[in-house]
Amino acid sequence: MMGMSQSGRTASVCCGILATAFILYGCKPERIAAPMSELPDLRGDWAYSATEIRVKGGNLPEECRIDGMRLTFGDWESKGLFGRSSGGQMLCSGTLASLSGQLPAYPIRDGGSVAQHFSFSIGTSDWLHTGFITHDTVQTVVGGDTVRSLLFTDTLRGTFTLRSNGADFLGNYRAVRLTRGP
Amino acid sequence: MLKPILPIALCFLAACDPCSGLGSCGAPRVRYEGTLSQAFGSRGPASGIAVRFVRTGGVMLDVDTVRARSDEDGRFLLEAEARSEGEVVGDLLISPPAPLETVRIPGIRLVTSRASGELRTLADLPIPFPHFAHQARVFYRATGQPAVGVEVEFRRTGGITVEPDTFRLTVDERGFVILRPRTREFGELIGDLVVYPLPPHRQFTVRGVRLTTRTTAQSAPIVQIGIGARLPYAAIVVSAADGKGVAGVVLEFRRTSGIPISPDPFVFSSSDASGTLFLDPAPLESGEVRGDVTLRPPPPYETVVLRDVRLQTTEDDRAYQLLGYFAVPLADSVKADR
Repeated sequence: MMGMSQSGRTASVCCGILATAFILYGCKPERIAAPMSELPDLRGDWAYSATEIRVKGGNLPEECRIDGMRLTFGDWESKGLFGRSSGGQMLCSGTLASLSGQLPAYPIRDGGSVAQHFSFSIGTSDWLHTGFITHDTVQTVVGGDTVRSLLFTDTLRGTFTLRSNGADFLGNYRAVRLTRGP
Repeated sequence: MLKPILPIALCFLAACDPCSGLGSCGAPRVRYEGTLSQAFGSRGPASGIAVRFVRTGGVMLDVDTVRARSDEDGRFLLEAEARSEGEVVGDLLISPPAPLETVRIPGIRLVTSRASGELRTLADLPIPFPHFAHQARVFYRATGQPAVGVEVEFRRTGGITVEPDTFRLTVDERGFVILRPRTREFGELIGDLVVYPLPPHRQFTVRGVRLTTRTTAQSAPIVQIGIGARLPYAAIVVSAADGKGVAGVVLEFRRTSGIPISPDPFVFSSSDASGTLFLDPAPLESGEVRGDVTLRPPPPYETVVLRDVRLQTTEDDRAYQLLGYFAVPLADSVKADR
């Protein structure tokens, strides 16, 4: 050993470093990727409309609809998703015409999600929305070159039940994302 | 020879002095911080309250009365120089807003200190303070159920000043909102309550709500707020043969005109032993609804149809109105047998 040449000593040191590196690599925990949130990012403003609003269990042919309502979702909190609605008017026909009118601002509460399915309430838990989120993709090819622009339009669709002063309503709704982020 | 010993001797001497060590030392003084809180209501801080410490014994202070005022967090600072070290005894006088009387706490003992910046703490002192103890009960008239989750906004229109003067609350699981704005005054607050129910009911305002401050744990009247209207009707079905009540009758109300109701048709099943039925569909708005009532009794009675029955909504808590006594005849086959 005492007679080992300079190059031999260097080789030994390199081997040692390599061996240590291999050992350390072996001890290294398996790489864990950041947990991917299963909750869809709904933050931002959405244009909300509801159609085919009918009195449950009734024989009234007339319907109502809601136009011009905006939903603003915040971030997911420990108790779910919260936000606020603004604007909107209820428009009814026939016998229900007198129910037409402007809607006040309501809190959005109790938002929950499993995969693409989610639920939330507007105003109170008596106006419960369930549905799913879709991401519509639009592909544009410009000229002969392969130039593609992909536009994602997030849409919430589903049904709701509304109970107000003992009266039950059913309806369909749709909300299209207007803006992203807080 | 003495040079090396001198610093050591000084250290020993300094250790005997309570003012030794880091920091400086000054004249003896009392410096105490206390907190005033509201004894009732929100139990929040009692701010803007005059506090006096009046010496009655012990070491002399440079003033006989030490004055302070509680800040936004209810904290106050009693600070004065003392003529000597020791304990000063006195009464603490706390003056809540008029007409509440001054609270006197005798025998308060404050210990002097010479350490600069030393702050001692008095206990948290709950005092009578004007507060609101009012609640509003918000419910659906048609069902009597609490309107859980509905928002209610209070807007001050007059009376004593409160903070904030406009605030929004959410009806809790019991159907109540607690109206508890902060105030430093004693008196009456006047305001409007704006209710934001779910559609198809529109927002409405209960005007001129009057709230009077309380100073004890005494409860206050509850403001009752009903959402929507109701149709509180009842009917009694009797046998045409003997006038006795008929049990098991099914009532159906089929709307022909007027305000929409839910459900439509409305069905009640079924009458009790005395023949009592309830006709109370949920009205979607206020007004009159007209329709046909069908009474379907069990055999051996015949079905009866009442045409163009008119029902008028009410927006109060009155008892059920009796639509009438309705006699159902025996079926012809039964009559023939008899």
